[in-house]
Amino acid sequence: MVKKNYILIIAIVLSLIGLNAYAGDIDKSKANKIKAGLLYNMAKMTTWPESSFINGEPISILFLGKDYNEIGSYFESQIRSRSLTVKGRKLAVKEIARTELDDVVREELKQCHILFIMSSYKGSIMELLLAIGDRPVLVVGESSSFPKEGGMIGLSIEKKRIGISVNLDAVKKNDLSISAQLLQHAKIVKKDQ
Amino acid sequence: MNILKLYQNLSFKRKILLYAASISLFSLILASLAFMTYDAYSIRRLLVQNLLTETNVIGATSASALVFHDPAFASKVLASLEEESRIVAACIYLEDGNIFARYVRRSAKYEFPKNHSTSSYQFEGKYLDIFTPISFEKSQVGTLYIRSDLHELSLRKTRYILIALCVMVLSLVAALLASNVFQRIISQPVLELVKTAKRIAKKEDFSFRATKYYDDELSDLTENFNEMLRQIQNRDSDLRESEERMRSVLETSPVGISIYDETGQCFVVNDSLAKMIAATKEQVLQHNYNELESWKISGTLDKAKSALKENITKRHELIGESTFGQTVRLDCYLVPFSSGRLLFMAHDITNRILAEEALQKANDELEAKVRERTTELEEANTRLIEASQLKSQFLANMSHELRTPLNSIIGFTGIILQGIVGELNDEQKKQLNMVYESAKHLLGLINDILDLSKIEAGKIEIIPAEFEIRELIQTVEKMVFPMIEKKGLTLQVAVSEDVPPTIYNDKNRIKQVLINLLSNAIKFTESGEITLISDFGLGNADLRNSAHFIKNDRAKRYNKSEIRIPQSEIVFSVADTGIGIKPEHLSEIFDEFKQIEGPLKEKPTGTGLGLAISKKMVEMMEGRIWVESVYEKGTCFQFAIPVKEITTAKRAPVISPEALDLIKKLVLTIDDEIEAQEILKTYLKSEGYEVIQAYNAMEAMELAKKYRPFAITLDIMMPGKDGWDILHELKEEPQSEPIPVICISILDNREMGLSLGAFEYLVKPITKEQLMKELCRLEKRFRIYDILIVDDEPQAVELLAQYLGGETNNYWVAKAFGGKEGLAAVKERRPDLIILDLMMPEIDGFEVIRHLKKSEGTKEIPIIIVSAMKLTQEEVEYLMKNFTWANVRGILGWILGWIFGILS
Repeated sequence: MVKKNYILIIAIVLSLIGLNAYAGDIDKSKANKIKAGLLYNMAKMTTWPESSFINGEPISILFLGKDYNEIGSYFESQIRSRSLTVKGRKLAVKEIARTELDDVVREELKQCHILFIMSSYKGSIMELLLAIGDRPVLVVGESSSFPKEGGMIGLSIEKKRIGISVNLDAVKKNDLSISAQLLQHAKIVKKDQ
Repeated sequence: MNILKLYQNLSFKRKILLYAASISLFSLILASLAFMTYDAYSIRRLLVQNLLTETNVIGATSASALVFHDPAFASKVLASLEEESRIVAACIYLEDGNIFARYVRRSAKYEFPKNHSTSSYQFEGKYLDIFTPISFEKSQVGTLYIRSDLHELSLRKTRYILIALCVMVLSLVAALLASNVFQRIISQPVLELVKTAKRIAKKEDFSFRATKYYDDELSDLTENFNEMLRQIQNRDSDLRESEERMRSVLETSPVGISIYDETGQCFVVNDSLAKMIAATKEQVLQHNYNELESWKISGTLDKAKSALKENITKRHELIGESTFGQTVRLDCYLVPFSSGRLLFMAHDITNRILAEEALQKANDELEAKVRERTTELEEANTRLIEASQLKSQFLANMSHELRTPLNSIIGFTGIILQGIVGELNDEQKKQLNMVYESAKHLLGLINDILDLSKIEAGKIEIIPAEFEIRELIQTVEKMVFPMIEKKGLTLQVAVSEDVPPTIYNDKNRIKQVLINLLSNAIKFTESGEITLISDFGLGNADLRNSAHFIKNDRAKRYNKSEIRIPQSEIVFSVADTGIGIKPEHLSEIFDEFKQIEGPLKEKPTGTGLGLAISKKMVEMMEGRIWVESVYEKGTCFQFAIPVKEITTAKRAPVISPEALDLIKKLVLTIDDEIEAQEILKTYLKSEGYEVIQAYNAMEAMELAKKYRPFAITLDIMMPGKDGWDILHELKEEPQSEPIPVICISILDNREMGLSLGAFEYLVKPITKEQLMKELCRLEKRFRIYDILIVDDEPQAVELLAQYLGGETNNYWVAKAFGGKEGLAAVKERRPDLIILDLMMPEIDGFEVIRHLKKSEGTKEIPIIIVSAMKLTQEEVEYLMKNFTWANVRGILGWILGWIFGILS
């Protein structure tokens, strides 16, 4: 019957769209998982100066923001379940559910090696950066413009992929270096002046 | 199997080629296959390797893209595979199996397979699929899949096959070419042999030879083959030759020959047979013995059949008819061959039979005639004997009759001549003397005739007795002296020392012969000398000092009997310097009535019987007479009378001691020097030894064995075989071994001599005393003992004599029957031992002992008393005092033992 055919076509189109949308855009939870994975791999691709680790000290990753459960917990669980290490060092995960820069945050900043600024953080990136100063901390954000703002690495969701943008100057400034293996897949940006 | 058969029957050349080709082909194919397989395999591996490497590279490159979610990058990386023409498709799988990035050549449609997530590769038809895990930082983040096509591989394969094929073809060609060259070398000698064999077979000519090629086993074969041909050729020609010979033999043989085959058909016949049965050869060749009437009737066919069956030759007489109807008798042989053929050989004996019959008849006639003649002869013989007897009687009577008046004439004229009945004047004397002489001569003639007839009648006897030779010779000398003197000749008489004083023979006959020879000598010698010599000789040696004027050996040897047994002889020789005898007369001289002209060519005197009678006499005495003469120079008549050798008969006959001596004391002297020999001879002869001389080894052995001398003297230093050799030989020979040898040499080598078995060893120069001493020693050791048996009982004497006189014993036994005889025997010859019986008539044992004791020469003679008599005490004492005694007669062995004891 003609009617039935129509319905079918619409259903297919809709599903296609849906799929497409699905296929085309990466859903959020998946993106978070990817980000977590990326984070781990980024840690792998980064080289801290020797002085930043004292005696087998683990690499500490600080998750800043309130939506820790989104990425952070996944990250942590993965670390824990798979006993992942980076260059032989264990990883220590911390979270601070703050959205603003305060003394607690500042204190924590002094002890982490990697700072992951989650999207729920609303504070000024620049302030954070200043608070970090020249300390070799890998600062990763969740938007593509993050590096433009002075952050080092920004992770963003694009259509079919997770985009990585890197501010090399910022990286260099803090005595960090990032492997080309990561860089070749990243967009190199410069700080907006 | 068909292929094999095909191959088997190919020509030799092709075989070799095929062999070479197939081998190279097989090996090429195998090699190519092997290499190809290996190549394919390794190429694949290589391919996989290559691809893996690529995938790894790409994987490594795109690893980070996977991690950092940069599909664009990954796609770009994959896109670089465009360069690789063989890569058909490639994709990167995420861990969940979704495709992260892809590449398809020329954007063709391709459906990617499911993810394998482990490293693997797979050949899918025309493609190679490889899955490689992509790892980032030691952990797998995805899988890379690449599909490559295999066209390169297949291209390579094809190329390879092509090349292989090309190579195979080329090498096959090359192999064939090369093997063609080489096969020639192999096959040529073989083919040559084949060719030669074919030729020979075809032409039946064995003179062909195969050419020898090269130098290997085949050339050896060729050589051997040729050798074989040579042999066959030779054998063939030999065969032909022998066949020809056989044929010629067959044809020329007077024996009729024909051969029949297994069916009985004749296929060979010679002319002789054809002639025998008066047929032509062609006719005979048509014969089959199964159909021949003549064979059937005469039983020859049956014989032939049985000969064939038993396979032995049979003889048969075939009596048949020739084609002309004549009776033919053939003596035939039927010889079967194993092949069933029969050889028939025949002699025509028709003539022979007739001849035999005629012979038989002649024989019978002859026998009859012979019988006739025999009876005639017998009659004649009886008549002759009668006549001869009559003649002898007549002669004897007549001689007697003649002699009686002659004796009167001689007697009375003798008396008258002696002047007993009155004086005679010279003329009367002269004339009466002539009468006397004539009468005497006549008497002589009559005596001669009588003698001769007596001899012929066999009435002359030889009466031997012992007589002294020297006496006889003297008598003879005296008898002929007047004749000698009258003729003005000289007479020389010599009797050799060797001649024994007495011999045992007929004195008168010897005298007669001597007188005869001497008178002949005188008669035929005008001037010069007559010599009479008597010598003792051994064997048939000539008188050593005979015929001193005869130098030539040729002039002698008439009527010498060839007696070669050693016997002692007395040889008499009468030599003269008379007219001699012509050689042609020498043979007749001893014949009756044969006379030779006198020296002055006057008519011969005498009866001509003298020599004939002498010859007869000498021969009756078992001697021989002979003459040597040189015409006009002189003549020498010799005769030898044997002195019977004394044998050691079991009965120990009484022999003349001299003979005993001779045999006992013969010494053989061996020396090469004449002077030495003469010296020895003188020594020995003077002591009564007889000597024979040998001058070399051969003579020595001969004489030693022949005469078994009592002793041998042996000089050591001699040329050729020296004394040592001779000594050795003497001791080796059983005949000469017991003879004691005295070595005489310049060198002193006594030990050697004695060790080789010599009795003694003397060093030259030796004196007579030395020699005699040794010989005495020898005698004592080896002497032959004289034993005198004195017993009145002949049996006892004989018994003892027999025991003692055995051949091997060295005892000469003299027998005396009774005491008187015993003493006489002792006187005659001193015995070494006396065996004396006590109990004897007339002169008994004691008496004998007493007599013996009296004389110096006999008192030391040892006596064995043999008696059964019981002796009185005194007698015993007497005997005990003077003798050692044995009293048991009958225990002869013991006695003999005593004898040994005493004598040694």
